[in-house]
Amino acid sequence: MKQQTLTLVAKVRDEAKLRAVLGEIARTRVAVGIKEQPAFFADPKLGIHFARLVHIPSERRFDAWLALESNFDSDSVDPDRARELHIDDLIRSQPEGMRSLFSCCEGFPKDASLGALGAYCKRQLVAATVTYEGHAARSLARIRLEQHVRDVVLDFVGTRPPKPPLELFGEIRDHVRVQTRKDPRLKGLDLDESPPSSPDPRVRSDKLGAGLFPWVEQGIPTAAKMLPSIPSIVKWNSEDDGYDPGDEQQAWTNVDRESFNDLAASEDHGLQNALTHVVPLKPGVDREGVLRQAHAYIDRMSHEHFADIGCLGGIPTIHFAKWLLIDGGKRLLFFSNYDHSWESYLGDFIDAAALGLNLAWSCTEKYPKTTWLFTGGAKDEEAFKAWGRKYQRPTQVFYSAYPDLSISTINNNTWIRYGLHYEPGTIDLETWFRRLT
Amino acid sequence: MEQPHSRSYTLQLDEIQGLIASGYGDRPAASYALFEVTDVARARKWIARIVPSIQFGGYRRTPRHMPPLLADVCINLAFTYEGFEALQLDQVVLRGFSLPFQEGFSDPHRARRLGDDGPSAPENWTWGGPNNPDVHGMLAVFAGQQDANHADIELPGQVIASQICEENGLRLVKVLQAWPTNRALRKEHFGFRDGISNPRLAGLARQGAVDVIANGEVVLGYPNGYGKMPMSPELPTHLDRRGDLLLPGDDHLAPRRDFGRNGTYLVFWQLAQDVKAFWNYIFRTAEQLPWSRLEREGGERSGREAALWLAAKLMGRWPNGSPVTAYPERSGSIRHQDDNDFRFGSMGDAFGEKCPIGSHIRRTNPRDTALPVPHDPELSGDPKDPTVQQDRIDRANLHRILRRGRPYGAPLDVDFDPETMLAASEALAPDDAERGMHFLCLNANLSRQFEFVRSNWMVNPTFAGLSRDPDPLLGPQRACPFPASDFTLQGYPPRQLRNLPRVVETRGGAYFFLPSRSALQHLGRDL
Repeated sequence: MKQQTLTLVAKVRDEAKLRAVLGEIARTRVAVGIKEQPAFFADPKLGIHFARLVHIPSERRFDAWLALESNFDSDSVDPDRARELHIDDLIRSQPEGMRSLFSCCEGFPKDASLGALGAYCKRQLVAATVTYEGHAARSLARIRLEQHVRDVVLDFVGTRPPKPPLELFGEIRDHVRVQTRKDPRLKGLDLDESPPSSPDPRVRSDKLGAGLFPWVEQGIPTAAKMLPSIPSIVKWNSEDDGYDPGDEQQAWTNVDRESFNDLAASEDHGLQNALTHVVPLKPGVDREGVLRQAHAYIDRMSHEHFADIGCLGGIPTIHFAKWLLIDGGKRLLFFSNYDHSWESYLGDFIDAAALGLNLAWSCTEKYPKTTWLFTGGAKDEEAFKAWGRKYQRPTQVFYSAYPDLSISTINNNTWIRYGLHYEPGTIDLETWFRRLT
Repeated sequence: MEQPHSRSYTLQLDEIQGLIASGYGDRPAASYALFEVTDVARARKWIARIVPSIQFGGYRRTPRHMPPLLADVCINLAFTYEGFEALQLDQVVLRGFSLPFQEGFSDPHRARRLGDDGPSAPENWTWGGPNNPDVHGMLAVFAGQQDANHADIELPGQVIASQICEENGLRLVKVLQAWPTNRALRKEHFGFRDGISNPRLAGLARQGAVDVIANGEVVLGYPNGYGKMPMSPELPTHLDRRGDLLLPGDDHLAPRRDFGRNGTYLVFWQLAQDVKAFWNYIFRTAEQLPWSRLEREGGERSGREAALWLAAKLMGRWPNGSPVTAYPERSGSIRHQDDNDFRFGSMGDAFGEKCPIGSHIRRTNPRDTALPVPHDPELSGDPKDPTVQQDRIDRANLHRILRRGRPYGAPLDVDFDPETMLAASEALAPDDAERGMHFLCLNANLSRQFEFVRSNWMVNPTFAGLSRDPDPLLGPQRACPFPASDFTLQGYPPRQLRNLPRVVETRGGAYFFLPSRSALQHLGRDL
């Protein structure tokens, strides 16, 4: 089982109809865990962690788009094959819904067969410039199992009198073993087997202790490829102007205010939120090329370094994120599924990851003024937040398979479960007991 | 983190309203008049007349007994966004206020995020909500000397009656009267000493003071914790015809004048406290805990002792204020009641074994708690490392607020003894007047400070690596992000409480702006 991601982006023909279809899908909900979620993505066979449907409205010189994003478990390790199978599964699960959605889009086949719909959807697949997974290797079933293991352990330990840790740890393992035979929600757990091989705590420790080395190592090829663009970058460095939140605020129209209200309405219904952000690239030759190079660097860091840590560039609250170019490379689309409020997420961006964000976005319109594309920028707190909000778009349909689990909780549960696989005396029990919180 | 430059240390005290400079602890009686503007011309004239009576911050330049002294009656004046609209403040200025202020405290999406649902939902508020009359402004009046006598308590009401009237173009919406402060105890209604952990503004802090934040974290016109000037409502220079907003040394030719400078956003949040539900839960739970007798030192603790211990763990301080981190098993002496000079990491409490991670004081000011996951030092940093501690404090300090709250309603026991209060609450008539807190706080950035503390630190059940633990006072059983009601006592072995009740409900609230002297003068001009 491997986590995969897909994004379909289709040009919209009938925006009014699309909005009606999205409204209907958003309203049709079923209970998933402790919260109601859109039924559209809830079929367990789909294996979806997070998914969304977004209408990116037409504006200025840009067309309207429909985006479908899904982060899902797949038996297929080949990403392309996994996406095709997932599209087939989506159509099997929601034939009418998928048809209504994409019938609002250009090029929708007149032939109404499901096969034709599948072929159409596969043509709308768009490759991301960067992807990130915060808990790679953990399937939905495993995330739920490990949460339940945590609960079983805490319920048990909470009623036991204090004993030497080794003794108590032994009792806990015995208890979990007994429960494993009785409790169907512990199916698949076998403490006498080795724990899963991924994530590997030693690899994580090494990467967390690696300092700047990986940044430099992964950056060298990018720096080399950017050399021809240096004259452009020098020019931008003196010419680019930034974002003045005061002036922008003065220019707010009623449409802007409605957009802010729609955004707020779409947020904070569960522990996680969806960020959908779409911004044009700055005009001029070279922008797209430089952006692609910067993104290739971030993508390498994401997969080679941060995925093992459960934290993207210092931000420990992202489940999935991706960037991709639309409108023939003229606009940059960003999707993320993050824990807690927008304010805390943007705060983490600024406090922990400004440099990476500057690289990701400094070639886009009105981005707060950077120096050499990577310093400054997001460090201007109020300008960065206002810029982020200006180009954010509401996510009409957002699905989370575990609306009560943060990345921190998911990771912590994994380490609790790993500990149980070891014989008493072979792990640091003080650290293990601290994780029971 | 950038150091605020030197200008940040020179607060223009004569410009800032006195409530920024202190909570007027020496003025034990307080009333807050919520009012509506009914006649803009008269209201503006009234503002011009009342400016000389308003207490500004100049008294903080000198020691308490040297002039300029605090007035016998301290008056402060603040307006909501609707209030500024009613006063026909220029559109450019109106558009320059932050979005949360423009939207207001009772905005439904804000309420959901902050945990104001069910009985706390804005539609159930007694003021400030969608079913209540508009609130345009607030006149806060403080009076009395040391401990308040009867006349002192009446005084603020008399001032309000003389000012908020039709003649002045104002209509009284509601008067909220505080319960006179007992300076010696300074307790809120659950019986805990309150107002201890309040940051000091750099411009008002004594040499060597701890817990200092940049002026711009509270007062507009000064660099904030990021070393940047906070956004502030400005207006084109030609609209400031009389030069009201010009201070000595200002650039006369600048294209814009700063209306917000030396002002701040003021949150008024009225909280009803269910003392009976709180102590009932504590006494019942302390009794039922199967392990409580086994592991407390000496093995035996009476119900009362166990209950106080449990309540202190939920709160993070003992009823007298002494911090649980320093006194994990028994209350510290009265000498330690105002102890605010501590870190968790350096006192061996990085993992919540003394002061639980989810306790009220720890999540409203995490200090050096290694967020996001204290028990994962590889990710969050070694909690014993002073550099890590300082970095965590710096980041936590980007979310601080200046609290200026006072309790309202009669205490159930003058000494705030839990058993006496519980017994008294059992005997209360069903129509007994409620009691609670007029929570007032000041900050320069509502969403990064006040709202962040509530949504990310208090309501969020996954704060600091927890799983289902909301703030034990203000977070249990809120629909968003998801209903949670556990409380974990970290330690070996960890213990969990379940089914925490809702014990605090929002009764009303509004976002105000507390303008500077210059801005009030500007508002006092004829249109």
